[in-house]
Amino acid sequence: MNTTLHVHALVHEVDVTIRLMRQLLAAIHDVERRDGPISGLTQHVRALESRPNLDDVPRMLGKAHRELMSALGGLRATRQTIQDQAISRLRDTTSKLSEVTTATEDAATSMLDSLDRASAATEALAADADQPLSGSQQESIDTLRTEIANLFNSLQFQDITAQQISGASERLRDVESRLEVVAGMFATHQTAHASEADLAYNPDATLRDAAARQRVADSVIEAANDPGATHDVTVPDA
Amino acid sequence: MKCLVVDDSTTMRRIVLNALRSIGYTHTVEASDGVEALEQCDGTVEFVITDWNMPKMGGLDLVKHLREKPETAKIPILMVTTRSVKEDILKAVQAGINSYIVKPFTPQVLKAKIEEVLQQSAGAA
Repeated sequence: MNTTLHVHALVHEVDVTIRLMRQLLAAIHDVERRDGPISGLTQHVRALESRPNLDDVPRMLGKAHRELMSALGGLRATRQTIQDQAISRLRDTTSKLSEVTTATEDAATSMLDSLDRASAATEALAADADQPLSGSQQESIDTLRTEIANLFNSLQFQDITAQQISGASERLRDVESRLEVVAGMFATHQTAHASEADLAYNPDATLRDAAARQRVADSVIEAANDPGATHDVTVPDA
Repeated sequence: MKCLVVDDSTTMRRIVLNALRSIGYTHTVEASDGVEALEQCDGTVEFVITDWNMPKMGGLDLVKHLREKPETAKIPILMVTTRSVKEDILKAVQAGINSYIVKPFTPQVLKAKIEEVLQQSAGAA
């Protein structure tokens, strides 16, 4: 039996009970008129008769039920909206972030390939010279080597941004799973998360303040290598 | 000197390998996670450069495994990672790393750290 039928049955029972009570009160009045007041009972009967809204109880129950049904309808619509809109949009966003990672990885690989070729060409240029390189030629070769090395190094951004994107995607997936829980009738289960140290990415990865952060690492390593020091070291903040 | 470079990012492995090449280390092998790295450690690897966050087995567990086995217990290990919180660095130290580089790094820093670690290892031997 569904909730609506339960409520209708309850309204009916309350209605019948009230009618029976009214008949009982009338019967008590008859007895009192005929045989005189029954000790204490008159007061109880009058108190019961004067209770307001008793007649309204079935109507109120029916109204409450209709409002409840209407609210549940709204919740179902909200749940549908969450499923149709929010979750699918989150999935789209996660998928697009994944595309960004793939695109930057492909681009980085392509640039690394080019840099490998540029590096080989530079070395060939230096090696194939028929006569010793002039000062300016040597300077140009050295500049090329330095610039190629710098470009190689700059491509570290791809790994770092990929980790940042993985972190953002994981948070989106977390929001998505929580929304699914809400959409699934407000259950309280939570997704178990792996320890951050065991993740395949660092959600806090950053390109900023590398030198300051390296100084922190150096201080920790230096303190750890100091035989007189414990591992409980004080180091500067990054 | 045979150097093992462990990182799940192909880009990072190539950058580290290029940096190693530019400072004269050409004998290198690669692994994309800790499990692969342990398979590569066949007794010929003399230096390990590893990332921290990797699938299957991360750098921290890799260091612990290497330090547990007598044949790899003394290999110099350099951790190269984006993690720069003091507590993380201490964890890595306690696991047994010799030095730590924060990404993004420069080839000069990599060279300096490798030399520093090799000097320490030579001194300890």
